[in-house]
Amino acid sequence: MSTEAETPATTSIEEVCLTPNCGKKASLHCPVCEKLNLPVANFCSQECFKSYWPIHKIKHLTKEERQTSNDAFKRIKFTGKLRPSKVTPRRAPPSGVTLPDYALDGFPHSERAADKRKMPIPIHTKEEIEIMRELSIKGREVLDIAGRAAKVGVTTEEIDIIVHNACAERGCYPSPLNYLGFPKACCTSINEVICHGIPDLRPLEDGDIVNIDVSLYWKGFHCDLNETYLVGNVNESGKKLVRVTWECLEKAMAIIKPGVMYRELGDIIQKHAHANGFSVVKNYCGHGVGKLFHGPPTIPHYARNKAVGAMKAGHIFTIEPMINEGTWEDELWPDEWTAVTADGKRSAQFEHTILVTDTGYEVLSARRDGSKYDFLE
Amino acid sequence: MTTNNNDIKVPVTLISGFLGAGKNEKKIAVIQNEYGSGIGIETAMIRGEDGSKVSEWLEFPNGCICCTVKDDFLKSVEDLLKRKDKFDYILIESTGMGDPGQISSSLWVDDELGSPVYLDSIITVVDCKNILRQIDEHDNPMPNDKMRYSSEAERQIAFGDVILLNKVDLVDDKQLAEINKRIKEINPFCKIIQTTRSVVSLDSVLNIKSYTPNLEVIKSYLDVQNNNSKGNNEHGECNHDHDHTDGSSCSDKQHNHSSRVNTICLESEGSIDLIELNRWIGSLVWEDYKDRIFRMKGLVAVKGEQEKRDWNNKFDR
Repeated sequence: MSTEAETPATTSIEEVCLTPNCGKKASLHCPVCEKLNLPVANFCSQECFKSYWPIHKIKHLTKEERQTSNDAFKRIKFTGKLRPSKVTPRRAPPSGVTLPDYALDGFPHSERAADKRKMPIPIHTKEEIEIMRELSIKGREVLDIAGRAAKVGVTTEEIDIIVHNACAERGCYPSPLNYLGFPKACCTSINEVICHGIPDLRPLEDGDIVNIDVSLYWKGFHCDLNETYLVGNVNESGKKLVRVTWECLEKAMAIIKPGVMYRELGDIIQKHAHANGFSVVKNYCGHGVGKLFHGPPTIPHYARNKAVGAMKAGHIFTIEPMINEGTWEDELWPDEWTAVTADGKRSAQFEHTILVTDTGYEVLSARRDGSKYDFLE
Repeated sequence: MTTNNNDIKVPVTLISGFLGAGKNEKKIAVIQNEYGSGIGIETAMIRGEDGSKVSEWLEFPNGCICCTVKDDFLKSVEDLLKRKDKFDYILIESTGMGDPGQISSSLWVDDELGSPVYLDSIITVVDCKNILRQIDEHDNPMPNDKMRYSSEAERQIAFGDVILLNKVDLVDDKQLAEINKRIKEINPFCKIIQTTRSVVSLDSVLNIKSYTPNLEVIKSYLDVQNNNSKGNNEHGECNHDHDHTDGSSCSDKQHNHSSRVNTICLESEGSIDLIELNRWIGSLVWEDYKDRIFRMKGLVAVKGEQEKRDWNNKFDR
């Protein structure tokens, strides 16, 4: 397979250019797709074709070429239908951006030095809050771009490249990249994957639900947000799972104000999940976010937890409930990242970066364009 | 959920110091660790029936994952249980001086997580020859509040559910009585056992379920308090007024003894809103009296609930 774009053949059909956000009338189409009997891939110009080639060429890979080479997967019993595909080598950090302390060796030095248990929850200054606000808007833009790309036939690898580039365009480092060795710029968690799915060469299928989790590092701070998207025609029970998960986050956020204990959030989330016949993942939780990607407080999403700390104005943290159709229990794939449900049933998640204010809270990573969530339409 | 039943879980006991192993029937995994050395279990071994070492291994937590609830120490302990050897019990022996608080809080895990282990109790080994001096020893320098308000020995006694008085043969009866008195002042709930070379019947210190509801402990404490208040006016009664919750009025009456660590009892009529109570306790242990409240037991009538709740807490921060 060549890595350089070949000369495109002319196209006669009335189509629009495949390059995202181009919108021009297509006059050419990809010759490789034609040779491989793939759906026609139209482009407006040689330039567009060339610039989109690094992402487009993934379409040409055969089933064999998409397979994972990790032998550890041969020895495990999968809990559901999802199988890992090939993960491409880690990309270099975007050039010209400030690197977090783990970017080169994979070890989050400052996070480890802080020791979650002993460090007090940071109270952010006006200036720091302004950085977090601006950064979270960038994060929201990146997630929205990634979410719009989550369509049938698109690989999570393509979504990862889109996220990587969108971060770079905004002068930001994609926080997950090389965090404890994580190989990609974002996490993509499909169906039974609870969280920390690694973007790979599997194309999204009709009926999938996929969570995209993005985090950006800029001016010494991190933001963290995610959403679950419906791919093609998701069945009613899947839509309900995604809607209820979103409601869990909304209901939990509604009680945020100074004086509320972090442990109260789990009671709200679990009550709503159980009322709808779903369960709450216990082994992964929300966290403080700011100078550290993951700092204090630790925020479990399940009821009757003993989380330490009460909210104060200036605290910034995430709530990111993971809600399951079946059991709350999880298993870890041999890649040491992908957390899947123990029964293989689906799991959904939504996450915001939230600031505690004097009177309540501000969702720093809120949707700003007034667009509706898929499952509400 | 079936995992909430303590009977099928493996109990863990945390000891500051070492137990001279008497004969026992249990298959015990012993982990030796130093407080304050952070993560990293130095050695773990299996102790045989006669107390001899059967095998030894090193176990370090594998790569950890962000935003998980369980910390590395608990995960290592759980990994230990996945080995082929079936353990009945886990003993964690800690050498260095320091607070058992951090390790105990990582073991004092939410029921909801269904961990295969539970914290049974904390045992503090006390050296009779030196303890009175150690109690009064001010840490020097004092880098934080925790050390300003209590000595290392006081904190270890405060955290202990069982206090092993070791080397009792090296002190006379008068000294022993004073030691008992001082320890009870610091921690009136603890069980005190006397030994000479830390040799103790394991049955009397293991599997005592210090953290399951046990109203007897509270009752006997209240009885002692009431008797004291009848016989000794200086000590006064428990604080009956919930408005004086800053504890000042109560602790004033109890400041007769030299120990900087003591116990305050709050009593109030009627029932209480659970969320408000929680937030108030949170504001005490995390803010107003941070690092100065070690443990708490109680019986609480919650608004709208028929049965009273047993309250049991231990704080490391």
